[in-house]
Amino acid sequence: MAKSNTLQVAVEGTSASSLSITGTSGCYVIELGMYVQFSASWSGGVAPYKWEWVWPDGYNLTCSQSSGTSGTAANCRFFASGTTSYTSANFTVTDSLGNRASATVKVTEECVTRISGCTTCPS
Amino acid sequence: MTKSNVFDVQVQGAAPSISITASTTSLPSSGGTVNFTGSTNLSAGTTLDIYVNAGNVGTTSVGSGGGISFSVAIPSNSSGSTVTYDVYVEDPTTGTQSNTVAISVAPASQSITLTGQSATTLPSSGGSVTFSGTATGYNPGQIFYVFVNGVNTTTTTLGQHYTFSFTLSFPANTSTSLVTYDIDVSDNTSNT
Repeated sequence: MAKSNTLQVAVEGTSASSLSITGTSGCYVIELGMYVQFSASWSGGVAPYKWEWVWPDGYNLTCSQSSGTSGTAANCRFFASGTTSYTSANFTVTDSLGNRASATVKVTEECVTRISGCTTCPS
Repeated sequence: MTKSNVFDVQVQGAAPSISITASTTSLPSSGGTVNFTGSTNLSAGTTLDIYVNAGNVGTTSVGSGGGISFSVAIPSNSSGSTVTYDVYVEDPTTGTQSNTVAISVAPASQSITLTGQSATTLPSSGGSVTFSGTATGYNPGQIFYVFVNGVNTTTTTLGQHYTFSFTLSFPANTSTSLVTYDIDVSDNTSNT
């Protein structure tokens, strides 16, 4: 049996910059059964990512998407069952290496961090 | 005086003939130069064509005593089989051919060499790398087995020019460390 020499191929590792939240926003419509919408963006880390929104009382918001490769627009909509006292939500993103970053998004009548075009939420 | 008519008697010359012998009829796989000597009853200065496997490779001239001397370069043999070259000379004027001497070249020892690769380092997203190589001691069409980190991954086929190539895809590296793959080729499904 003959065997050749051995060649090598190296695949570079990911240069993981630290994971950080780069922007958040939230808005709502003040009505009974209101819609609340959040979005966030982040940078760094290694794709794919998982993220979640959590009310302070620990209730997980139902999001249309909770994982992906993008570093932006982790949108989440919430249909409140009635007028609530919810004023903020926590956003946490985790990369494939287990690095985490979190941010709190305030959603109050007074201090909605209104983003242009975000005065109403889609139904 | 009475004299008869005259008859002419012609004595034909000997039929032209050429005979050659080789200094050796067996060469190693590396080939080499074979010296030929011989004799003929053709006239000195006659130009003879030298043929190797029916291809004209040069000429030689008949010496003053009918002697013949020439050399033929026999190429190396990369295959796994003995290669034979048939050598003879021919007088192009009369069409007289010498005897044919068969020169055999031994098969090459088995060897596989990876000679190149299109990339040695890939980005973290991974990608494809094409490898090339040569082999001796095998015949074209020989199947070789490609191993990645010791795992039989694919095959490649030896071409007519005793070369082969194959392309491997390497996955993305999601770690922060360099990942290295060892690639080698074997004529057997096991490379141990």
